[in-house]
Amino acid sequence: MSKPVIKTKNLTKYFKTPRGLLHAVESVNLTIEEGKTIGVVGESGCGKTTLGRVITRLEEATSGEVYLEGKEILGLKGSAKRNIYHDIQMIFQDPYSSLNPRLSLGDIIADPIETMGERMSKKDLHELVLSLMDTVGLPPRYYNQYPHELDGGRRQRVGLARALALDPKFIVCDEPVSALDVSIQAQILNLLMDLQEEKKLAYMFITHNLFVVKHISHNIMVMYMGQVVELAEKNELFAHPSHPYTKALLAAIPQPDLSSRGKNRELLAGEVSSPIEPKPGCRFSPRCPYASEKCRAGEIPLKEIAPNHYCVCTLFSN
Amino acid sequence: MKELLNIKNLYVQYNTDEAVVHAVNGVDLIVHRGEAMGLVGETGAGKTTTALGILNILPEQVGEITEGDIVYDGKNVLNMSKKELQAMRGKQVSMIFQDPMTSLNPIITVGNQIDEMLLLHFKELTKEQRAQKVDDILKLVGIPAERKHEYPFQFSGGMKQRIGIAIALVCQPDLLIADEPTTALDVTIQAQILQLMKQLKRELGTALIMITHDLGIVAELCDNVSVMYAGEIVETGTVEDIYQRIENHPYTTGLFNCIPKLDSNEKRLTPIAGYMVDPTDLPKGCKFHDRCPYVTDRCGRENPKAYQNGTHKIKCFRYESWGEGDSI
Repeated sequence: MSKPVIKTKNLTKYFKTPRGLLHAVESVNLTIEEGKTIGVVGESGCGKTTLGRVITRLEEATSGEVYLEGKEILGLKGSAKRNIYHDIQMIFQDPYSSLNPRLSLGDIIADPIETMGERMSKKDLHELVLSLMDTVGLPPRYYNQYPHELDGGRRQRVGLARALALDPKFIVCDEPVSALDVSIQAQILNLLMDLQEEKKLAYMFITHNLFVVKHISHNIMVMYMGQVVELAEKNELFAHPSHPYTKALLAAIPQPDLSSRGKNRELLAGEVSSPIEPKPGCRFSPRCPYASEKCRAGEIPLKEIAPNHYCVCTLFSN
Repeated sequence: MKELLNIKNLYVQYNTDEAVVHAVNGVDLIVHRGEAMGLVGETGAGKTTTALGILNILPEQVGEITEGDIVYDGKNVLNMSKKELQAMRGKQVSMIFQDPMTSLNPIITVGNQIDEMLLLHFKELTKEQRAQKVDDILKLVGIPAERKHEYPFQFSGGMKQRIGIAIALVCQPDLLIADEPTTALDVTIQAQILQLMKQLKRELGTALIMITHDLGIVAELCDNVSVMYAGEIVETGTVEDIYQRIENHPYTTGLFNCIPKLDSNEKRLTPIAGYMVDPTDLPKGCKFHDRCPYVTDRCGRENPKAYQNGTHKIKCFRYESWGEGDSI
């Protein structure tokens, strides 16, 4: 087992709303090792983005702990808090709104170095930015261009270069390819994986696309309405999905071949209910075909059902 | 099957202040009654523009059909009067849009939005008969009829898309154009909507043009497929022709290869080299040639014709031995 870079303990985030507390992330425990990717999947509103934002402290957690290489970071204040961004960075879903439209690409990429990095001469900074651009496959002629002059794929490369500027150990990738066409998506995924191999980066890859998550992750965590329902090594998860929600999610993907044509698949009825002041127990139970009284009784323990395969479901708790 | 829609050699351009955008460049497309046609391609391929052309609802003054014919049920849409067009839209051909959040009117109850269609196209119906039709169509798309008095914001995304489908289908059109109807939805909700569309197609016999970038959706729902690139259809055929993946246009092959597979552990994906061509400055010859792994000198000079093998047509010189077919 390699070195854990990020570890969370009972990480929880509630939002106050006029109608009560919105349970966005409920007691998440996860470990991400050096050079590894954890994929976080789930549908909109499952809390996957909030989880990423809480770990990077863009959002303050309600309770719980986050350890960066063994050091707790949620309690840090002032410059110590700021310094975590030497090691933790994030790339965002929308390459249109996550870049400052009034800065040139060179300035966007130089920004983190100027604010937080080593002091260096203008010339060295220029060199460093150009080498970062080269790393992500942007030709030097883009240095003085502005975000609006670029298409989505190239913009996402700028976001990645900016995230790499301080040489971080861990990057939260929040749906970085969802806004891109498949041909461009493949380029960015390849780039992310090459960089990981080269720099031993740890990724948390947030997505709703199961093809993508299978491709890029080592481990996959499935979330539903703020709760982790299943966590496993990726091949294990796709070979033996165990939680009824995971099964439904996998069954719902339309495959780009003729294997499932004409067959009627098992459909998940209903929709996600409200995460505001949710009832105790499993939040998937109102849609679950196997739900029983036990599911609504109280907290269901995480159970290791196979080596390195965890599931939170009453079907496995006995 | 009888021919319902026949698009011949369609050219559409957008005249903007900066440049002329060549969105559709010589498209031929035939859709038969009851047929489900998948129109596949990436952003900017001209899928939506083609669809807007069918209903003659291209943005005024900017969008211009420079050449070609769109014949719907024997009549040329481009020569229709305003009145004829109004009678066609929604009654014979209707459309559902990508974003169910913005395509419904926020200040009219969903029941009244469905009723509006009936009011326009079935003037002879009484109020009670219309109310009955609204209830029926809501039930058909899986929404309890008593919710017709509610407003769009009271529904979730999946439910709103069901309402969009109800509005499109209440007049029982012969052709439904669905423009990325599930792109904004979660996968489990998408599965429900696809199931619903399959069921409606079976029950009502509506012909369907399914515009999507998702090859999985086409495999599940469609009978035939047309793949678009830079405003041209580069390949068309039955789903079997395309998805057997024995003979394909290099662009189609590229699209398939970009999708990570669920059943293998390949390390790297094979993206299509380069970027989408600029529609304001299209290359000569085959529009795909500078991204194509099989490019020859000829590809840069001459735009390939459609070569045909049975139901399968491909616009690429590699299939020249098939012999020239009808244009696509």
